[in-house]
Amino acid sequence: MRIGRITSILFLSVWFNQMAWGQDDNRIAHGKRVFERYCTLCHGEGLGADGAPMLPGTHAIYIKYRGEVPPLLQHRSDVNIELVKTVVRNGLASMPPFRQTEVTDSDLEAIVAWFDSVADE
Amino acid sequence: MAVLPPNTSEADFNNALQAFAAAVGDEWVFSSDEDLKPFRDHYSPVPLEEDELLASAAVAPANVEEVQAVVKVANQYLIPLYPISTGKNFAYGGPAPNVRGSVVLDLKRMDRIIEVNEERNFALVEPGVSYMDLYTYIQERGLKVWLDCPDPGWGSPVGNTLDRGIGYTLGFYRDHNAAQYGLEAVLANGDVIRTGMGALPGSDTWQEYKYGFGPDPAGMFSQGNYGIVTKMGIRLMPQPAHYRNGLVTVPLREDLGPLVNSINYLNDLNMIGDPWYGSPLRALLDNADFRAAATRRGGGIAEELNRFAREANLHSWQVELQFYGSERTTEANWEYAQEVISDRIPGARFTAGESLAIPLTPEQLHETTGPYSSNMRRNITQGVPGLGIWKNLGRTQSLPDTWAQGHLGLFAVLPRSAESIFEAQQVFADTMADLNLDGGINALSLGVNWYQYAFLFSAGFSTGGGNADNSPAGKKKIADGLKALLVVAGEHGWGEYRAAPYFQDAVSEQYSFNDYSLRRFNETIKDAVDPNGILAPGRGGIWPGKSRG
Repeated sequence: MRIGRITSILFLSVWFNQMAWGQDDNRIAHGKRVFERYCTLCHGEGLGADGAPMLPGTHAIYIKYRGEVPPLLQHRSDVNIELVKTVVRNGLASMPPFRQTEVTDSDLEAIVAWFDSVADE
Repeated sequence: MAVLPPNTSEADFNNALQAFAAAVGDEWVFSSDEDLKPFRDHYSPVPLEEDELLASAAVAPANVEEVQAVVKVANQYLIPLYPISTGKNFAYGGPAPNVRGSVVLDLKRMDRIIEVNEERNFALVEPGVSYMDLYTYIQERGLKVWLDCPDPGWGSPVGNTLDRGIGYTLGFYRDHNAAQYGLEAVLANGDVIRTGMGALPGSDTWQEYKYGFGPDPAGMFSQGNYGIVTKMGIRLMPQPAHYRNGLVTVPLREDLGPLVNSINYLNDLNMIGDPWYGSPLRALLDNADFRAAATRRGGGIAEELNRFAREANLHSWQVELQFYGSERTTEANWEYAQEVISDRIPGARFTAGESLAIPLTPEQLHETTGPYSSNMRRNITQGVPGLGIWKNLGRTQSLPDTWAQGHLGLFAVLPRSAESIFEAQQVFADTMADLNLDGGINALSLGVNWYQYAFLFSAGFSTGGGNADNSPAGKKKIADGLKALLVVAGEHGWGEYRAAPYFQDAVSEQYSFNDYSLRRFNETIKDAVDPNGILAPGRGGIWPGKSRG
């Protein structure tokens, strides 16, 4: 009886862990998808249009910090959810704000989870 | 909540918010100051804070039925609604309403791509679909159809079309309102209509014959306030096999006339894409003597400017041409363009550009080292949405701590002729000098030919941080100056094609034929279809009866 209970607890623990891992993976994948839909036009990798060396947002960060900070957001270690929410909801310099109907707070948390997963790689 | 709807008590507004929540769900009604921040026009031209066009709330329905429910509530409480698609029409208002205290009807959640048909070349989309969404959808499925995108391309086909936006490929597609083929709208009384063949149950030609039978009211939803567009058909360009471009330069200032006439001929035969005019003499603007000649009061003098051109061994004007088709047809069209222009302009020079199979590779899309220095932006000529225009905004290496945020200016509709260009150069430059404004107009300024059958002549200012004077006084000077320019332009028969809410009444004021008979007609319709005046009052200069006094 006791062994059975321990086995059940172990099983549930593994199951919950797997669920949590699965949820994290889903969340990270969702964050990446939202970032690609709304952010990469400006903050993505690669060349900008018409001879620009980077995409506009990536380039702006590169210029602002004189290359001392990684210009890609997912490579920065100082981008947390508070910073992301502040910038996304208020806009910054040339970047306009984005509404909840475009990216929800939960989407923003998923984006930061994706940032963190990239930083961990 | 900082702002209430006009003539609405706080108690009534709170009741209305509860009714909106019942219609769309609590989580899709936004009324806190924090939630409403992104509903401001980030690039607002409005000079004074107390005049800023702030929303009192925003409501985001997910489908047509929810839109109808929201409209019912707005009628009950007499609260103005301001519909937006993706809300990215920045510098023309963005997501901010025409009337302070309106409730923004945010249609972003209605983002279904209902159909993309690559055999019959059309799409049917909801308002929340962005150009990027539609482009991604097409690319992921390998469909052989193109979009015609504005730049920046972060907005929506529905919203851009409804504001009569433009693009950069072939003439028909560049005029986004012309390429609109059938729409669905919720009216102020909650009724849903479909225009054209959409009104015929069982028809499969809604996106192929836009007129149906009888009057076609679809155009009334552009820059108007007669309904809330919930679906729209747009014509798509079949993906051509080949792209080619070429540069034409002509030596004399007076050659602009035959050059424009030649391009009109080729353009109206649909042999060329968007022609991009320019002047090689811009390279001389750092020369103080030349600059004085180019900014001379009364307009440029041909003899004097021709002398500068001759001494610098430069031609006076240029136009870049682009061709879409097969390799052989684009080559034949480029040869024919040279023939047409050579016949009219002795001394015209021609430089072949690039000749590329479509689709272009990523490397070709980014290639900028063509046979000549190009004004064209490669992505937009290939129907690829992007933010290429941002090369004129944001931070720069030379000024890393400053940035230009947006533009604020006029785009006056002019005839496609050199005479109108020369006259506009003189009138705009002299008026701006009188107003002590620098809108960058001089004897080299030209129209853009985004609309196939007219020039748009622009005078623009940077807005935002950095060097731009963003103080209330600085913005007021520009805003007042632009309103004065509008009047002067109107006296010459030049009106704006589009304007931010702050300027819409001033623009509308110029369209005064027969004691404003067109506006009176629009107002009559407005009063009939929206008696409570709840839909975007003031948009396009059309106010409901209760606001007209």
